[in-house]
Amino acid sequence: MEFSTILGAWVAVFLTIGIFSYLYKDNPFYKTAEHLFVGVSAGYWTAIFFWTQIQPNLFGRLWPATEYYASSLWYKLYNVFGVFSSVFPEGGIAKGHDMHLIYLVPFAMGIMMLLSVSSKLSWMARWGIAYTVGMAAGLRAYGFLNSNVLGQIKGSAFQLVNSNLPFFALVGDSIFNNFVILIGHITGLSVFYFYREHT
Amino acid sequence: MSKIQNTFLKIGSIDRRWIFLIIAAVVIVPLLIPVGLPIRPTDTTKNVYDSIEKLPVGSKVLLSVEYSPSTRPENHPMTISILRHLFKNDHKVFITCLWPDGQFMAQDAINQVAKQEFNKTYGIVYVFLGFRPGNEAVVKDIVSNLRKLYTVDVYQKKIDEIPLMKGINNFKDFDFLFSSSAGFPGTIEWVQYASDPTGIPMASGVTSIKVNEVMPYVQAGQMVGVLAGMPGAAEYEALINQKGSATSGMDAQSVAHLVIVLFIILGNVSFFIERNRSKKY
Repeated sequence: MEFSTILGAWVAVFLTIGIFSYLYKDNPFYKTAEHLFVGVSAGYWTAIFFWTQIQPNLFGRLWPATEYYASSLWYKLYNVFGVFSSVFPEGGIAKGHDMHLIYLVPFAMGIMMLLSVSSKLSWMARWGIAYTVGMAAGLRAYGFLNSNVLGQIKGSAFQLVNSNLPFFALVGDSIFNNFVILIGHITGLSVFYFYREHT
Repeated sequence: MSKIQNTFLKIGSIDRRWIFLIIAAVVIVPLLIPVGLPIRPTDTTKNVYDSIEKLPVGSKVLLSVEYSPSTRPENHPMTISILRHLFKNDHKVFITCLWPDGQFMAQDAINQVAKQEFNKTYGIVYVFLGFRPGNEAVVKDIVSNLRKLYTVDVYQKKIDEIPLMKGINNFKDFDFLFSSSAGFPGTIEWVQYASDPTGIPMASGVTSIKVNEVMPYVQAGQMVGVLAGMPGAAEYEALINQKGSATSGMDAQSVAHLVIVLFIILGNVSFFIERNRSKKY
């Protein structure tokens, strides 16, 4: 087994025991493990997000290798960024995309969201946040309506007295359980109409 | 009588750190010396197994990995068992992740099952698409146009150059979905944005704490079944006849649960004795 693997396992053991040591009481080992966890998590998420989305799917659509033309103004700008060659490799970004300049809009919104750190320009962050909130609300409204409202109503619509079902069963379908579901529905819904605040 | 009552009162005022120590001991001992408690598959687990058994050979199955190391003991055995079952039945497997940590969990499962146990060829039998940020928007993108979201796989290989990806453009091109999930985004988002709108059957393996949230979808027929926490994983291991970490973990979990219940009873007895005594004086 490689030395790095063994060392990694020992570090993992040390940090795990460090976290569990809080059960005894707060101590420096716990604090070390806690701070390391928060720092490493933030760095890890940032790196993952950048290399799986921003670099291939955003920059890859703005400066794709398929449409690379060194003398065009757009790619001249790209070549200026070329000092960061791992992010902006020579000859454009080859991630299988065509050029979509519409992606400049989310790019600009992303930068505007980062401006929340500036007290003077923080108002610009609202645009990006407003878009994200609106998009998420629209997506969620559709999903909940379809699956949690319509799907669940459809799933709880059944024939109350079905001669093919046993009268009683602890688990699964039965006439008795059908009545339990019906009464549960009615009483559950009634709560919203007859509930009074207790003072 | 008062001696017994005093003993209960002493137990009731025990330092919580002793309880942590006892719980640690009852978890570690069964892991080292397995008790071998019987495991009987429940209907929801059997339904997942039967659904995969019924798939025709060569079916395209999407496996989504949505958990991190914190829930690995519960979720990972499910992922391992499902992968074993899919490869044993000669299905094609496409692996995605809605959680960034899920990518590492999936890679571990692939190394163990696809490479070491079944020696399956990458790009022909299975493909690892990996993680994309965006939560439910990722699910929506997979449903509408997977190729817009995934132009390269985890290893930066172009999707167009992977033979298995031929003809795979969106979620409707799959025959089955299994989501190994520990929370948001996960099983519920797959039901809402993928399975329900398209009618592609799906099953899920979730942590015990998420079972109550997912069960209404199973009972309403929106999911074919669910592997419920570590017991579900152990039941699936029993169904595919390949015992793993969930089976041994169940001994530890069951004994720990019994001890916790015992502590709750002792704590309550102590509380009522103390209350009665305070009423007297």
